[in-house]
Amino acid sequence: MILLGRSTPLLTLAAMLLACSANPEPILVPLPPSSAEMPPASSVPPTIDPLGERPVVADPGPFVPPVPEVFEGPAGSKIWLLERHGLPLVSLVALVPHGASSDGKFPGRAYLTADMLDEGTDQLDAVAFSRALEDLGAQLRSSADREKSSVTLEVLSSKFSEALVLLGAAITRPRHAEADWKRVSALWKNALKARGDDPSTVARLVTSAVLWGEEHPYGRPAEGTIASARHLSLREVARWHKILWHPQNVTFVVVGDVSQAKLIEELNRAFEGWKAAPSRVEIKVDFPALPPTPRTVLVDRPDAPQVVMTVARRSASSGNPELPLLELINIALGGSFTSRLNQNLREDHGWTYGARSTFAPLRQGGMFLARASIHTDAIEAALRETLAELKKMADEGPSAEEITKSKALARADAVETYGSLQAIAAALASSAAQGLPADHDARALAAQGSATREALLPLARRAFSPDEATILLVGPRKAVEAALQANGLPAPEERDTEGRLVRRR
Amino acid sequence: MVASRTLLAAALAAALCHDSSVALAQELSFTRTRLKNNLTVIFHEDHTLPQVAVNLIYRVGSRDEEPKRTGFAHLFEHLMFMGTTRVPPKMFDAWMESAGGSNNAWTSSDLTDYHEIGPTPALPLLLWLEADRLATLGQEIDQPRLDLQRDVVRNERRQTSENVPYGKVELRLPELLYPPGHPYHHPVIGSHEDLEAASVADVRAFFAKYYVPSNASLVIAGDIRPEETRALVERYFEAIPAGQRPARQPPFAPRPLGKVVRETIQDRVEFTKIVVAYHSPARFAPGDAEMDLLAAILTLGKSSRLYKSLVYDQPLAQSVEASQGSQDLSSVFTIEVLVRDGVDPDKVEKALDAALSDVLAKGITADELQRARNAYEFGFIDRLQSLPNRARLLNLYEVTAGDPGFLPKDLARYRNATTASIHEWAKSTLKADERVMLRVVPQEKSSSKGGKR
Repeated sequence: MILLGRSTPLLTLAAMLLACSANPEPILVPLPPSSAEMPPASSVPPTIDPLGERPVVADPGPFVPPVPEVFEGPAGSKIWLLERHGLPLVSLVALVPHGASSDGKFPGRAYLTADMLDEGTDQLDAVAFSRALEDLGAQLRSSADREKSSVTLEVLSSKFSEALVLLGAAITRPRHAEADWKRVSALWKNALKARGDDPSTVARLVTSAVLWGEEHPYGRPAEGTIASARHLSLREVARWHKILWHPQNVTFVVVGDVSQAKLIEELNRAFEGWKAAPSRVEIKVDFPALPPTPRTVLVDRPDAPQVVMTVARRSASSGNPELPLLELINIALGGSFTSRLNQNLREDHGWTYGARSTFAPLRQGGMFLARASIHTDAIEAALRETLAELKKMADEGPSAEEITKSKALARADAVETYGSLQAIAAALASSAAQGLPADHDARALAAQGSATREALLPLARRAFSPDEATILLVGPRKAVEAALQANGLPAPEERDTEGRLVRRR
Repeated sequence: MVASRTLLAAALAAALCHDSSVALAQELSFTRTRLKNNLTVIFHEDHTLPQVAVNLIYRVGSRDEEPKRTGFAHLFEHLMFMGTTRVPPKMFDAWMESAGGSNNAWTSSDLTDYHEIGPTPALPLLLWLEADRLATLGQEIDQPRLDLQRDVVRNERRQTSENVPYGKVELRLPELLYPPGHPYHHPVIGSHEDLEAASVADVRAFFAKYYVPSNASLVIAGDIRPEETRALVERYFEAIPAGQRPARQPPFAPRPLGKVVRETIQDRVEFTKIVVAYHSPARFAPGDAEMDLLAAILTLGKSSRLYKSLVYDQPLAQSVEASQGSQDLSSVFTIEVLVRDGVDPDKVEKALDAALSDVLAKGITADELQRARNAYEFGFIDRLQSLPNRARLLNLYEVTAGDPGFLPKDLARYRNATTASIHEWAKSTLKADERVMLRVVPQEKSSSKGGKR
């Protein structure tokens, strides 16, 4: 069945608002509205109208996201537990706060280390391991992103113990068989070749490369590159796995139908092998000086019907206390359906299926990204409007009405996150991996709830100005060059789909 | 009548060992009523979180479109947000988001579904906005609003089908599977040409025919008091004229293909993809659950038949996926194989057929069935976590099975499937001489300037 949505789900918004929480101040929703942007429902037919006036929405009151218990796990690991006994399910994330940014001279190492993690254990080959999980109806996935390596487990609470034993074996005694490596690394190299097919993937990859530099831990493709793939060996992956998954690096985020006593008992059983862990090797990341960023970048995609447009700049790190407030402003700029960017580019002009902006914070710095796929014929005007919207937000900040709306949406999104175990676990895992406290979500939402316009204005000025931004366009060369020129922007430097410079103009 | 979700938890946990379907049904407890104007209203009470969800389905999809108007049902879905006299343009979303609410909608070949979520006090506003557009929207759509959303939808087509690798498959497959004139012959998104042709008169006629209370089902879920909510619904919706539920085609199997339909299309891709598609049993018809389970047996997990054969044991495929795409009139069972670098697609196709022949000749094992069933049972419970999911599930059961409480019967379809029944349905569905074989191959290197990929 093919489903067509009205708009793409606000994944970026959801991810962004995972860090949000309670609002200690009453939210005053101005209904009926008083500003010109929200005209009153003045044309309601008189008396006989059964619908009557638009209902006034009362203040929903504060929402305080529950805070997990934090305690010691086996062999010096940590546990974040949020008990939820509604449905007989447990969602678990075992994570290490190191990912692709630690790859050093082995691009793709974190990604492949994660990929090899579900390829069997000392007792079970890859097929038998997969079958054992399926026998329990359990879902196990391993992955690595820029600063996190993790294994997630979703399982019925009645099967939790057995599934945890499989997870423990996968982490402490991975099989790392040569035959599996041959297959997994071949699939990986194929996937690297194919990723240039998708313009959105290309846009993300090249944006990181130009904002941080091609050799920067945040600038290299997290999944590695075609050129470097042959340097990675199973031996290196196995060596790295031992260093990475040292018990003292590990945090277990657990949400769902399990008690603290049972969890500790089961984890101790499943991770018994950890008792003899050698001393921990510190994982260091070298951050080179940041390069000057180009003003305009082209990735040529001949004859493409749309140009994937990204306006990006370096921005706040994950621990920056201003970040929740920047995210609050961003809800009004590009983080909601009624945001300025989406209203302008989609609802006023029909140039795109949707325009969004988001923050992508990491420990040493982050990115602000405004993105849309624009009909190629409209790229010149859409780019002009996008830059104008960013400038307007930087110059004037959000309006009082927008701040009220953004607070209400931040609260609603936090409530929705707490409606699913996976979403809660993902939010907490993100905090844990970034070194944020367990009550970060609650604090962030509280900070957002009490934000004033006066406090937000200087932040908007610093964070959203398009003057320092890089404009990256993935689309047909001719249309891109014409659009840049018509906007008074310099000719672009050209990058290939791997983010490498093609030629300097 | 309706109990709260938290109170049920203990009973649920205990019951799962014995009969989880009873417990799951309690989890999806509901009351159903019908207003004087035939609008079906279903309440689901759950005070776990301070939120409410609304789900409103109209029985209309792309299968109901007039000739030369492909994509119209989905375009209309977009128009439903374009405002009325009471709710001026842009205010539907502005008022909703100001109250902390959000919305979306989707259209399939069979249905159109509108859904909202918001904090508890926003419920009257959410219902008021839904009632307003059902009452008046069709008459108030004008040319500029139509033109605007037409452009948005055409960009949706470009973004989700034309400018993504292998995106053209979903545009072409329906045309190869179903003959011209069949309600499923065209893709839901429609053609640019037909979208261009849509007129304001079309909009009004479509609204008048399909957007009537008799043709709709409304679910209100979450932190609600059903009695109070019912009064609110009556006040907002009951004055809207009932209309008639339009007659639609009954489920029917399409004319058999009678042959292998082969086609090759070029795309901006690195590797070849082989797509194999078969006609299969309609949603909830006998065999539908069997084909769901078979899809899992073929491609879910490393021990699944096709993954093990084409990816694990032989270095032939990058990935393989099978799915039973259930639809009301007739379904499509699809297998997609992404061919590995440097491998001859013909060789992959032969290996695929060998693996399928083995299933058809010998059937499947009890262990395989159990693993597939485990995945489905986990999925049933997992889906009940979020409030909007529960609202949607209740409504889908209402409009497709006529019973919001269909969950135990739905689950039973999977429990009652046997190795023998799966074998039988596999044999009657996966016919080697009646299927669509669509290949997506890398396009010839472009002659455009700078045409490197």
